[in-house]
Amino acid sequence: MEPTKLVRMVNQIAANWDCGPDQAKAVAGVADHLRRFWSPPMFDEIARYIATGDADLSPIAERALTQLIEERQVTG
Amino acid sequence: MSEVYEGYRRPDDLGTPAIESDVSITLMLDGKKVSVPEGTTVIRAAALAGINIPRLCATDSLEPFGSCRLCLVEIEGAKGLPASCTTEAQDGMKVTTQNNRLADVRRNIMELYISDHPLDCLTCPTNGDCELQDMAGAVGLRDVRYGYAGENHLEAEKDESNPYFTFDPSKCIVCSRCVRACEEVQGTFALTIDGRGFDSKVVASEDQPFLDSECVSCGACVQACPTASLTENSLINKGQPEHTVITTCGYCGVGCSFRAEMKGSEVVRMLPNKDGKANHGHSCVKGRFAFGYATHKDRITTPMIRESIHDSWQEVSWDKAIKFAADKLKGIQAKYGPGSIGGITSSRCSNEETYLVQKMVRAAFGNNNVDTCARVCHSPTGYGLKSTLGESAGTQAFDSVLHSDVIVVIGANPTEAHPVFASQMKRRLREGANLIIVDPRSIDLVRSPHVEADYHLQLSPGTNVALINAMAHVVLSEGLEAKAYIKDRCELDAYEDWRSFILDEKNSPESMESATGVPAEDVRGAARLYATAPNGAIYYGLGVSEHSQGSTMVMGIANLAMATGNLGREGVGVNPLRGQNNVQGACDMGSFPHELPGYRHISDTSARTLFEKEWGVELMPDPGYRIPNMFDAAVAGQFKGMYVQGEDLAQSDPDTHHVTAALSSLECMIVQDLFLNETAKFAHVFLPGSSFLEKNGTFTNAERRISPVRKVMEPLAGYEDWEVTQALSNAMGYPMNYGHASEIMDEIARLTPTFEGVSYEKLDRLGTIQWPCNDEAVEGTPTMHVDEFVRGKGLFRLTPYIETDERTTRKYPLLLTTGRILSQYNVGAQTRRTENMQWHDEDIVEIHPHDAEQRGIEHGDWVGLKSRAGDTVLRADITERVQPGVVYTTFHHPESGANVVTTDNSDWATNCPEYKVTAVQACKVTQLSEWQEKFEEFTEEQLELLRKAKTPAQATSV
Repeated sequence: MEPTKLVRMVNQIAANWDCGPDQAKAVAGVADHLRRFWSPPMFDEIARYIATGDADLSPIAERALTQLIEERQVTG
Repeated sequence: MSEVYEGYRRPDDLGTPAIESDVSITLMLDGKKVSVPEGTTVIRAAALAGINIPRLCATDSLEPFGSCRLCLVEIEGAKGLPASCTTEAQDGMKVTTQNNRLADVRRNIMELYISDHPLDCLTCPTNGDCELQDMAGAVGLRDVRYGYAGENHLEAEKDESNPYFTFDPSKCIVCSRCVRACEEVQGTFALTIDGRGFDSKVVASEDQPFLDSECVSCGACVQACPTASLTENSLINKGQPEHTVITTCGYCGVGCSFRAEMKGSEVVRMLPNKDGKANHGHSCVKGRFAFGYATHKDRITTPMIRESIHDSWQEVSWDKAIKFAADKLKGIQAKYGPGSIGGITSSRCSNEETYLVQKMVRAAFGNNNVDTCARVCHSPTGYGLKSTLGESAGTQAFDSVLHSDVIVVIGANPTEAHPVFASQMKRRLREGANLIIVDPRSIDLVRSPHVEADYHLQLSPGTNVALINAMAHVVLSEGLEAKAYIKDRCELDAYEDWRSFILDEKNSPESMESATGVPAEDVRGAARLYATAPNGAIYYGLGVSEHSQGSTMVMGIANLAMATGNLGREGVGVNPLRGQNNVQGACDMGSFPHELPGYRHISDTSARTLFEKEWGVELMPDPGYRIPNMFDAAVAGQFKGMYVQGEDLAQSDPDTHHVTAALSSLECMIVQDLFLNETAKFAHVFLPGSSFLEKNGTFTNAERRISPVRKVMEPLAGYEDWEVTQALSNAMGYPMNYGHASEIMDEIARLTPTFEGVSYEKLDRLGTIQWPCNDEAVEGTPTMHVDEFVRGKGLFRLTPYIETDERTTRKYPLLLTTGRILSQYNVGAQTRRTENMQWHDEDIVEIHPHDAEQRGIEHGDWVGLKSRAGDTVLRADITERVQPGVVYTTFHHPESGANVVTTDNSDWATNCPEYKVTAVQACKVTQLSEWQEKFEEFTEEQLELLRKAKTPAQATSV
């Protein structure tokens, strides 16, 4: 899948959650959203892209994905 | 479901409409004591007591009129002979309906009618089903003393302009039933009685042929006509039906109930069912008349296979086609992995069919790569309403609108896309309800006969959320919120967060005016009107969901309804108007990749375990691909096989270049459909589908009403659609052994709490059922969230307005928005194969006179529309329906290429495409676009490959 498109999607999700003073809540909202609606191959793809350092993620998107990637590494 | 046919008979008619009253009165009719609700007419009271008073102008679908004088009666103490249709029954009233005096008067009236009526009963199309004929018999007419040589209307010319019905004025008795039906039932006011006395005649618009008039061909006039003056052409050609089957329309999400009136296995006509709870005996031009596609010559009724999309099709047996498909899919999974294939369910198919497709994907394919066309229409409704209220469905029954005081229509065009509900809404508006319309275009409801919106908030496309936030700002800043309701029924922490967010000055109408283009004072007025109404109801359509913030807007609507206490009773609510017949059902049935039937997340172990036990297979706990993800994965070479039932992705999905690139990259595309649709042109296996007339099942309409679909003819290709899915699943190695669609519904009921009490037996008994239907609501649930929200406390979600990426630039200075038209349905595969083509044989682009003049475009010119995704060419319609800076088109014809222009921009939460906003440039051109030329070539190639399948040398059916 086109990783830049995945980046665009997750940034869009993050922008819609970034609407209050509580940034942690926004990060949790994005992470939960991705957990509920994204298929595993999409995670794998964006995780690979993030590893290249080229992913132009918003801060909230980046924090949510970092959290999810760690979570997936733990659960295998 | 019962498959015993009912012999044909005219539906019962009690003369005047039912009256609701808690007070009962008792009268004497021919010495018989009869009790009826107060306000009931004498003619209806008599009919209820089994006494049929002769009548011609009276019918129970219309208000009493009192013109024919045939229903007159004697009432003790009353002067003269009052008409029983216009006389209210009174307590203690003594009525005589039959005696010699009345018989003489009635016979005299009939004599006058018949003196100016053709005596061709034996060759008349309504012979045997004519109220005039019946009345002649009822009054004992034996002679016409006036003769037939006097001045008459017998030579009046027929109007055969309408493809579906004929107006024969020589048979008109000027009873005005057609005129009243057009007014009261349909609300179009296209017909009138022109002239006076003997010259009186029914005319359409300004005495124009029906086809050229304002008539919308709903057929209400035809249904109301008591003679053969207005008659269906199908009845003229085929004669009277001999049996009737009650079934449900296969077109829009209104889900009208119909009597399929049959002659053997042939449909003579579709008559709207008076007992239908969604339509109350009304219909539109599609449902009533446009059923010819079911037997159109383009139907493919033999399975076909081919190795490559550039090979000729080969007609084969069902067994061979199913084996070919299963082998291909299994081969792909062996080579690319279990997640490399998936399936698409269709909102045009039944609950049972969509349930079975998702089951096959999860159980036989072993993944969750299943999605449905609701992805591209109402997926934001599912997300938004589930998040805020706890259930992914509209909150009301359609009849609820009759109790609304203020009706808000947002991004919906009911008179075009949900015409039967629009008629009901217009009835309420004529009674005095207020109307607010939020739409970039001037839709018909903004101003039409006897209907005028109090506010038309003509916002710029893509600014819905800005507008709904501004309305909420007015409600909160002016103290119009329902404080007690919020305190009692909503999560208060979330409410306080939302309140602070909305009250920020950036959300005020004045601040948002520059974004929306709507004057702040209009927003304030509309918000006040809605918030202070005793009952405020919101109806919305794809103009809400098909945006980059579609889900946000749905949540914004739910927030506003909660804040004003407009949820949980009749007359209020949040009501998504579903586009296709079974959008609600397809979503209910677990068609989304993250949800099992009943909207339970696939990661929910207890729900998954329930299905695993019933299905005897382990299920994957992670969501699968959505449709756009499938396309992306296909283009990337990771997704290789697809089973598509009843959907046309190549025409309906956005960014056609991307879609066709994805479809072309598949190693196995299996399409199950009635026709070789645009997607099937990319297929390797074609499995013939069955129309709604050829199968048993259920559809669930926009008001959660589960309605029976009954087989009225055998499937042309031999199988109902669910049987084909079952065969494919068996060939894939996952056994299914259903003997009837009812067994699938029984399984759905076992596994889905909201369907727990649903069965075909109960559907036979009740007619229809609105879910939830369970022990707590044995006969279903017309209004949801009555005492509490499904999720417990209502949740206010924050709804920040984020401008779409699709914004105007110097290169693309206009915004394209898309929509529907009355005579065509979705991709047009059905309606393009009917006479509905006479109303709309090509998609056109609407452009404002100012924008047209700037570009030198005149009405009818070819206009090139170009976006960052692609370009196409359409003819121009210069109109002020659209505002300057906005252009509009429909997508009913594949060669129009509307979706070549739409982009991959989508809703942030659901990936529902942003069909409603595309930045474009428009210019005058003289030839088709490059895409259109290639489309023509590809289409011709594919049709030739299909023709080869049907030539004797190629036909190797086994």
